Amino acid sequence: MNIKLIYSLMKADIDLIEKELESAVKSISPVLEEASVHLLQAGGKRIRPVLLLLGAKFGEYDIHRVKFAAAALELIHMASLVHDDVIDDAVIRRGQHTVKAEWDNRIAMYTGDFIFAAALECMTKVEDREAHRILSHTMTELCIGEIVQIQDKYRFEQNLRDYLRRIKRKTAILIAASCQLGAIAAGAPAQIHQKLYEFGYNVGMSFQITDDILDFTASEKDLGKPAGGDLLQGNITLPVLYAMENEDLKERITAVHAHTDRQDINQIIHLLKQSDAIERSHELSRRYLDRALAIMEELPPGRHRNSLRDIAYFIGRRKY
Amino acid sequence: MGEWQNEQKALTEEINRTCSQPFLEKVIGAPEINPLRVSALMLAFSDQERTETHVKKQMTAAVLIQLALDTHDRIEPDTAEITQKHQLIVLAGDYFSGMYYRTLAEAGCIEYVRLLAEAVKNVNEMKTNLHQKDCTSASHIFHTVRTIETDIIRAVLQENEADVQLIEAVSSLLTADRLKKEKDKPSFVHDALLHVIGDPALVMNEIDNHLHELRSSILKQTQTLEEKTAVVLRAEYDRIFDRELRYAEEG
Repeated sequence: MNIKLIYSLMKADIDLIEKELESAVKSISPVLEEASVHLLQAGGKRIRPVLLLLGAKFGEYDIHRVKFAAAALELIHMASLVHDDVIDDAVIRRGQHTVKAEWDNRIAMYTGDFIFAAALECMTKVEDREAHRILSHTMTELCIGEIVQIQDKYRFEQNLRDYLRRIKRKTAILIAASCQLGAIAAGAPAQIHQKLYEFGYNVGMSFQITDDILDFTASEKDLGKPAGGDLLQGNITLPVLYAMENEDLKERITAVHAHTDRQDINQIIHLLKQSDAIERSHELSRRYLDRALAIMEELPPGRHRNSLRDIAYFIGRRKY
Repeated sequence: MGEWQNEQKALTEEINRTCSQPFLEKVIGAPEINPLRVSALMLAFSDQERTETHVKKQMTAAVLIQLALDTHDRIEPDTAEITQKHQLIVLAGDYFSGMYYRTLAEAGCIEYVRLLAEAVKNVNEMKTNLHQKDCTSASHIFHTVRTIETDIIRAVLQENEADVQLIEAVSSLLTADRLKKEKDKPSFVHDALLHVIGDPALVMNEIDNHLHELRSSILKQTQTLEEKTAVVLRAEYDRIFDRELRYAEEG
């Protein structure tokens, strides 16, 4: 089943979540509401709510029970994006002006804080202590992941373990929690929701590695920014770590700083693509994906299991 | 009073432990916990209640979320250059927010998550109004500042059915504390007033007049409170209003 068909089969429930999102960001402040709606309308794939709904299908599925967790998760993702744009001084996201560009940093901070509070307000309609414990841990880990990413910038002596731990915090655990929270909200047994967490974790790792590869291989048009941006910003990703096993490339890479010429970056990208760094990164991404698929086999069979498998393939093998 | 101060110190240390992150502290400094907020929160609970673990978590969470919002106020509207410090201030606020939720989630206080989240939404709405210069008069601005500074603590006090005079006295103290700081270091409250009044000297006069009103109302509000509570509030009053005098005495 392709991803569009999965979405179309879940359309009615996704629409309910959209309504919940719109209602959550209603505000007496016209600017806050406009900024929040601006973010909502920028869209995105709503991958986290979809994973949560599919996870819920392993329990007693009731959209009116699980929609709050799904909306909360998407709102938390949105709040983090609007603050990330302040961190990165980003002007464009998903082809639209960011909140910080449309208004300013302060409005972006207030909007993020407002949406974050709206997310938690929504989440409190889920009466499961375990769900709150998992989501709150996920959120603080996510933050620590971003803090460590800044701490590790241009730290070229970091190793594979540092990288994997960072992407686990930064990306994988939110996807893992998405899969798990749906099952918890739907009252699925612990052995099921824990398996869903592991599935999501491995999909998330594969997703982030693919993302880091695309920063070197995708076109500027697809990325919405010039290739190699991660390296220029000092983010040492998997392709870079593999490339640095070559002494010549290591010398060039470790000379990179915030003001390195575009020409030098392009030269490094060219050499990196000629090395085995991209292929080896794909290989590790595939291994995480395979592991996710193997875990999925341990879950009860059904249409929703097949949908999770197809989403995993979509995430792990996307081209941009 | 000594016992109260020890408890306040212990709670502040607990909050510091909860939000401690070495790299953040190294770059942006340790979080500054306003002792007035800690005192005000302690007043929301009885001596007996404050010995209970879940109440300590509720007080910790309320300080953490306030800290998160205050931290984000340090972000300038526009930045000429992205610095590591600027990036970490954003993340520090997010981290403190996360810790507020985590503290309450671990204690199973989900109702408190909702209570504080509602207040956070309201505070951000008011901050946006102030920042967008939507306030049309000085009194509108002072009212907005009062909401921004007090809504989180008011939510806790109201949840615990605190005496109305106590709620008002705490609110007046927190507003006065903010305005005093604004006088020392003009910030967005000053900017909003300037937008309405136009003359910087008149802005300072307006702040002084409002501080004078707050002084009178705090003194009136504390008169009807039980002595133990009134002593704590008077100590905070002295700390805020007699700051200049104390500085002079201390040389």
